[in-house]
Amino acid sequence: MAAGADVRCAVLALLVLGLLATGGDATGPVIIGQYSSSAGKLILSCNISVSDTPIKGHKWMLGDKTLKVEEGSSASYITYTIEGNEEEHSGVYECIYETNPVAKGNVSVEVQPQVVAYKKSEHGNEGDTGVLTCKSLSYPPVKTWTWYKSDQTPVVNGSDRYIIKSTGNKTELRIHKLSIEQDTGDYYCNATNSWGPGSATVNLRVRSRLAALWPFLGIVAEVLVLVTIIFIYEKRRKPDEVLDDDDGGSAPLKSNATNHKDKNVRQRNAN
Amino acid sequence: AFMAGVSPSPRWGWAVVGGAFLQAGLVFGGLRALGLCLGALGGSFGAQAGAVAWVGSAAIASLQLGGPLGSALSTRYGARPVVMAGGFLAGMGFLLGAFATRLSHLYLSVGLLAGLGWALVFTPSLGAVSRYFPTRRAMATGLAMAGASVVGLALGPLIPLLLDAYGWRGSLLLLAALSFNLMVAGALLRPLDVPIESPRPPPPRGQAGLRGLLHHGPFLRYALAFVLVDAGYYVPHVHGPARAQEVGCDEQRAGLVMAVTAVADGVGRVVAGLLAARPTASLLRHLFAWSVLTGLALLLLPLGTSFGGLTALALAYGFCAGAIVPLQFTGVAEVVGAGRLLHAIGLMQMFESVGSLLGIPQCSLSGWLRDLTGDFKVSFLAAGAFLLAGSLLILTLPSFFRTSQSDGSSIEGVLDPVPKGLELSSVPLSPPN
Repeated sequence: MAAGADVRCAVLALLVLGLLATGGDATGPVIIGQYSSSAGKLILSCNISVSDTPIKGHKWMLGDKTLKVEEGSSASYITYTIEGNEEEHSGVYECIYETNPVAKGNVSVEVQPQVVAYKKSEHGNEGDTGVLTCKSLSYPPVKTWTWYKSDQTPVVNGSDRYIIKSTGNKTELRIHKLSIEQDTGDYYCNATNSWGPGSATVNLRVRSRLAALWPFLGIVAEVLVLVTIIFIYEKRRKPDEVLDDDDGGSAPLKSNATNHKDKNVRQRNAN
Repeated sequence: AFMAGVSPSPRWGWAVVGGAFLQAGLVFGGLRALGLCLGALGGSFGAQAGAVAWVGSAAIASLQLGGPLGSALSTRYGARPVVMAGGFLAGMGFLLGAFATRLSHLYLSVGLLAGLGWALVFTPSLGAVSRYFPTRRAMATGLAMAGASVVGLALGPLIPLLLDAYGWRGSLLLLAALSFNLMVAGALLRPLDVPIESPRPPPPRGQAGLRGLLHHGPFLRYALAFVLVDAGYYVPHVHGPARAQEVGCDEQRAGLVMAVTAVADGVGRVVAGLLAARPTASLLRHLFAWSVLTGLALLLLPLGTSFGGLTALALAYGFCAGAIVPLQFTGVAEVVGAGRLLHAIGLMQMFESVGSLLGIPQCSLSGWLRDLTGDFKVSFLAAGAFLLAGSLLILTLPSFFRTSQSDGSSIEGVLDPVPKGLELSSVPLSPPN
């Protein structure tokens, strides 16, 4: 009867408690991390299940950079809001509860590779080596990099004059002995990770060796012209002087002076 | 006395100033442009940024160490041929650099050769200006040296455009062509043709002038003063942008601060020259005043922690620092006499290369201080201290307390006619000791 029901409830309660107790001890507090993205905001959240010790505060971190610290808060459901979208802020975020010991949870924001060219437009000199670089700062890291020329043909490492160096989040395409006709144009760097592909475009312009030659010749011509003008102007202003060395001159002082030009002065100086 | 031929009219002095203006612009502007081109070299020769920067330092070292050579050659042959030869060498240096295939090529061409060319251009040009303006030397020198500021400012935005359009090789090629214009500047330095017999005894050999200076106590103190000044002078130029960013300015504003400083520098050169151009002015006292002010400006610079504050202080620094320039090169006449001005400038340049070694980024004392203390405050304080130390040395010069009668300029005016252009007698006109 009633007494029997009470006993059954009590046993059930004890069973449940027992289950909870064993469940709790075996794995420690459980933290569920998730994120949602809407209206230009990325909201990360963590929810901690029952914890033995009280929560004295929490903080959010990205790698070794601390994003937010909240002391004295005993909330078990915490959020962190980022302005922007997931593509711009991918990575592994940690939510850390100040319990004893601390409890950490992860929110992993993963996207396709966000590929960016170091410089959208690169210049190279004819005959020299051109370097095109792309990088991806998103998470998870890039698994494979490939390069394509503008006509969809792949660029093969080691073929022709191409050398591709790819390390993790960066890739470099080096083209030796640049040629204006063959190498000018767009290049695509493609990155792939577990979520899909991503790419960027780099435009290469090859400068002709002779490009600077015409301005050079122009300026040199200007120098010659100006120097000539200056000397001619000088000769025209003092027509006597050209003949002065031979010209005896009217006054002794004058001839003394004219002879001075090359001889006397040198001698005087030599004394 | 009647003059043979036609002496260049006094108006030609302005053409000489123009030539000197042009050469100051091309030498110091060229130096600056070189620095920018080196920055664009990148890893072209597989070398690190530090090694590449030494090319610029080699050029500066060549320029300054070659100073005495420039003065000796122009004393013997006149300014015009020496400057034109120097211009040719500088142009060739850049031209060869444009075809460099190794870093060592750059050291030799743009570093050594161009620097040597500049050495043959700079000192003789100042000498020519002095010759044409015996009574207003400081003014003429200030105007001429302002060329460095103007061209430097113009090149700031121009070089990146050139680099983008032609690459560093093409830019060096164009800088070569621009440097050949130094020959135009040289052509303007018409030798002075004034044949009045000098009542003085025949001057001793030219070499004695240089050697004599090495034993000249006050001159050595003067040169040492500028070695000290140089150790502090360039700190804002070298670390300015970094300091601006330290106090929170972005790249654009940092550039603005530097541009403002450069303009103030140019104005300061002209104004100081004008102020000191009066016959009764004591160049040494003006020099002392401006260098003390520059030192104070440096000491105060760390206080500029906002964009406005930093700009105002940088402006003050730029103006005073510019003011020192014409006075440095003309004040030495008060110490050794106008007769030995040219040699003194050359020798001083050589000594200064020591001071500027402390200032160049790679060996920089100020950079080391910054790394030690965390920001540039102490670096600027040290720079100010160097400036003030140099100023104190100027105070110790005997000519400092004399009246204007004993400075080179007024006596020089009476005995002005000196044979053959830049032929300078080596007899000191007013031995200070």
